[in-house]
Order: sequence, then C-alpha cells, then structure tokens
Amino acid sequence: MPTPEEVLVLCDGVTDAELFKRIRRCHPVLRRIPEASIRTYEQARFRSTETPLRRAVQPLHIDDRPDLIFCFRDRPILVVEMTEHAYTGDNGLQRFARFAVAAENGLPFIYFGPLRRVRDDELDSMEEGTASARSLTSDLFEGMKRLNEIFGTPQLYVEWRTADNGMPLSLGTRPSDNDILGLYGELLTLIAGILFEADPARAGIIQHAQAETTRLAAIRNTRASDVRFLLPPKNAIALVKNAALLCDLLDGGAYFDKGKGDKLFAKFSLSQSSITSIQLPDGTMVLEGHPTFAEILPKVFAHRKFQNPAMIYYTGYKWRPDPHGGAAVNVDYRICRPNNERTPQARATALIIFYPRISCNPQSPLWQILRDAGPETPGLAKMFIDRYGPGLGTTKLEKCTHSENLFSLWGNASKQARLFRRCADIVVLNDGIILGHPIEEVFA
Amino acid sequence: MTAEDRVAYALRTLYLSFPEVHIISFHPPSGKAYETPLIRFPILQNLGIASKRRHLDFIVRCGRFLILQELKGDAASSSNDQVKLLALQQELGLGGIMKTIRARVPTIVTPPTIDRLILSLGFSTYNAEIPRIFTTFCVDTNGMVHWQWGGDLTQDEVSELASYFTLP
Repeated sequence: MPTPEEVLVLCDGVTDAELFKRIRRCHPVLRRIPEASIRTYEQARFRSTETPLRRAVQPLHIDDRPDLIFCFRDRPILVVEMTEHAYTGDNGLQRFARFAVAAENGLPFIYFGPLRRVRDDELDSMEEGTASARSLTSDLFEGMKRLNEIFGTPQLYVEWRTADNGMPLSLGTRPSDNDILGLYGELLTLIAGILFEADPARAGIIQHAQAETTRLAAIRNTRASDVRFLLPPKNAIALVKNAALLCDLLDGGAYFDKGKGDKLFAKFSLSQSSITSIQLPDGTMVLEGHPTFAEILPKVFAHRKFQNPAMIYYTGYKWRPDPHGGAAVNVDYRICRPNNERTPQARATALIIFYPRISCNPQSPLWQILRDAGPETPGLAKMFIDRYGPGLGTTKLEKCTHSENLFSLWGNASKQARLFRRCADIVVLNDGIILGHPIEEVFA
Repeated sequence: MTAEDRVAYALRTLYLSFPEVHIISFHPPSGKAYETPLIRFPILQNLGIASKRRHLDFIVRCGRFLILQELKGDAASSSNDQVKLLALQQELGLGGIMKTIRARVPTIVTPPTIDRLILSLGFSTYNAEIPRIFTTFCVDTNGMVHWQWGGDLTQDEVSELASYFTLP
C-alpha cells in the first residue's frame, strides 16, 4: 500500500484534475498527495515511448476513459467515475462499461453521482418548483452488485446530493472547507480508505459502502423491459434467422406504434432484413454465395450456449456508442452470468443483440435502399402514414428524416462495435450478422 | 490542453482574483461543470446554426452587471457565439435571462440588483475584428489577460466595472 506521497492521480481532463486538487485539500491524508502528481491523461498523439504506466493504464482506456485513476508504482489501484447525470432508462447505464473494465482488471471502483435529480429539460419547461426528480435506474446498482460478486472487487457508490430545486449541488467557485466536505467528504473518506491500508477504519468503510450498493440494487425501480428478454433457444435461433419476426414480438407487436416516430426507421429495416453476410469473430467477412456461408450459423447454434434460453437485446438507436454500449454490458453481467462466469466466453447464456438500423454489407440490396432513405422511400412513407394517418404521417416523416445518418454501415473500430463484439455472441444487423468474441471458440 | 481550455482556466483564475467578481456559471470546454450549476437557456428563434448549445461558458456577476461570455481559441471562430449572445439579449432580455438563471441558482442571484447586461467573448488569438458591442478578454501566450470593455458601455459604467476588476 502506498503513502500519500507515492500516489499518482491520472485525470480525464483539466476539470477533473482541478476539482481533485481542490477537494483533496480538505482531507487530512489525501492533502499529502503532491500537486505535481495530479495530472491529466496523456493524449495518444503526444506519446513518444511506451512506459510501464501507460501499459498498465491502457486496459482501463479500452473503450473510453474514467474520470480518475489512482496509481502506485506504475499500477492502477482505484478507479473513480463522477457524473451529475442520473437517468431512469438506458442513459443511466451509458458509463457501465467503465465499471466493468475496472472490475475485470481487479480494481476497486467508486461511482459518484446523484441518486435522484430533476431533468434539465423538465426544469426548463415546467413552472418553478413543479418538476419532479427522476431516480437513477436500479439496473446500474444491480450490475455493480453482480460485478462485485463475480470479481470480488469493491463496486461502491457515493451520492452526489441535490439542491432544493432537484439539481445536483455544486460547490461554487469560492467554497469553504465545510462546503467541500459537505458535498465531497464521503467520497474523499472512501478514496482514502481504499488507498491507504494504514487507515484503521478501512475494512469497515469498504464493507459498509459495498452493503449500500447491495441495498440500492434491491430497490427495484425499473419495469419489465420491452426490448430485453429471454427466449427459448428454438425461438431465439428462429429470430436470428428472420429478424423481421421482432416486429410482432416486441411488446406483442405494439412497440413500434407508440413513443418516438423514428422507431419506424428500425421497423422498416427489420421488415426487409435478410442475412447476406456474416462477420466471423476474427473480423473476416463471409458473403452469401461463399461455399462456407451456409455452414456458419448451424455451427454457432450447435454451441452449448444455444441449448439454453438466450438473452435478446433490441436497440433501435442509430450508429452511436451511447447509451446502448454500456446498457449491453450491464445486461451481460446482470442477466447472462447467473453462475458468476468471469468471461463472456464462459457464459451459459447467449447474448443476442438486434441492431436493425445498421448494415454490414455495402453491396446488399437493402443498404442500397437505406443509404438514400427519406420521405420518398415508399415502404417507409407507408409505415408513417399507417401509424399517424396521411397528413400527420407525412409531416412526421419529414421531421424525422431531418436527422443525419438515419441508417449506417457497421465499422469494427468504433466504440459500440468494440463493446458489442466483446459482450454479445451475435449482433444481428439488417443485412447481416456480426459474430462476437464470446462465440470465438466455435471457429478456433 | 486546448487553446480554449487555456482561455477558460486563465479567465477563471482572473475572475477569482477579484473579490467582487462572482462566477455564477462556468462551463469548461470538457463539459464537466462540477463547480457551478449548468444554466441552459430556452431555444431561441433567431439562433440559426448556433442553436444546439444552450449554455454559456461563463456567466459572471459584478455589482449590477451581468456578463454573458463565450470562449474560443481564436477570435475568428467566434461568429456563432456572437449570434448566440445577441439572440439571447434580443429575445430573452435581461428579465428572461435572470428568470432562467434563477431556476438553477435560486439562492445566489437577486434579480433587482442586476440591471446591465454585458456580452463578452474570450479567446487567445486575436485574429479577427470583433464588433464593438462585445467586451473582449484575450489571453496572451504568457497567460496574461487583456480586456477591452464594449463600445455600448458608458464612461461611467466602464469606471464602475474597472473598480471591480482591480486587485485589492
């Protein structure tokens, strides 16, 4: 265990570094961390040589970067994530991949954020004092609890308290020590408790905080999901082969007729989907017509995972990393590892992600339609008119098609592709299938 | 650290050095507004391409003055910010702006004591002419800040402001 003088604090940005420099002055032990040892991550483009520290931190940056990483002798020893956000749905899970990466690398993790807060847009639009606070999804705490159970490393939560108007409290620019301790005191105590073994209260502090995560996980505040569910293996396999079945399966077929109009883009893709290409776990693309094409899926479905119910996760987002990347990792840990499997390869439960607004074959007939899709696309226009009626349907379609990149091509280098390939056995796109690393032993 | 980061933190340090200058809202380029409430303004009609970003980099109060400020690395990139600041002034006015701020910081701002709005731009490279209505803060390569009050301010107002922007 380090002394405070030996700790290095790597920060995501100047703001994180400035905040930590400021708040740690109020803690009797953390204040001894030298100012010069609190610094921002190096930008990749400025790196000249590889160092042991860079090598050790790199696994924690595999997808994106946590706010604070505490290091000792060129090794990370604690990861801290801070956010003023607190969402009820998938948005609350968008950082979850960072939680998981810390646990997978054997590191304690602290999450500092509000438990309940008012949303910015509701505060904007409602009369003063009438906007009500929304709770952070309990799926986050359940995921933290599962990470602790699987990897044995602390997954701890400290609340960022809110003001009377429901917004997260902030220090202001000239805070007193009492102001700082009132907001960040518990976080500082927990950080010091984890970092410094000499603290006699260490074990008690960590145990108490872990018990709090478990307590919060038990307070369920999410309803059953329309887009995440287990399916018997036979039905799951049928769905992979014919993704259009989802149109009638999600919420008994009602899913696409309620909520945001742009759901119909995904429905349009689904209704015309067909498998014309398969990407193997090593990135090799096999197109329809290739001699081995027809053999691939039967080999996959013969794997032991497909003897059990499979977890289905549908995402109707366009090509973007958040929040569904973190949400998929959360589903993996919460639902797909009932036997505390430490890797997705070892899981007994398959995870299948449906991502219908994305294509993977630039030559497929469907991509030729989707890349130019707009108000003039016949099938798409019909869906909007069927849902909203002739006048409103056309208006809605025109409004929804103002958005850029309604449909996109898959690319392995993006964050969402890395996350999905790492946690899902199969990602079903509108014109093809991506096989993830969890199923790679089939092709070994 | 980007040029805009450098401007943001130089100005933060400057404002904090004057006891009577109060930062109501600071939104650093990273987007991580840990220190102060994030104040989002309503969607404006005449904002055009600048409409997506609904907060300001700095909202600063000194005496009866409220400074609304946007930052850029160089002055030539500030045209959207100029449109945005002018739209805020024209469409919301001081009353609307104060109402929005009060929803986020009910205890800090007492509206009747603020009666003068100042539109301001901050940057490090002075490579374009800026309309005189804007008060400018330019951070030089040594981190020194040079400011010029806007042309719409009276001599009395400039003198009053100078009393706040003076080290004790």
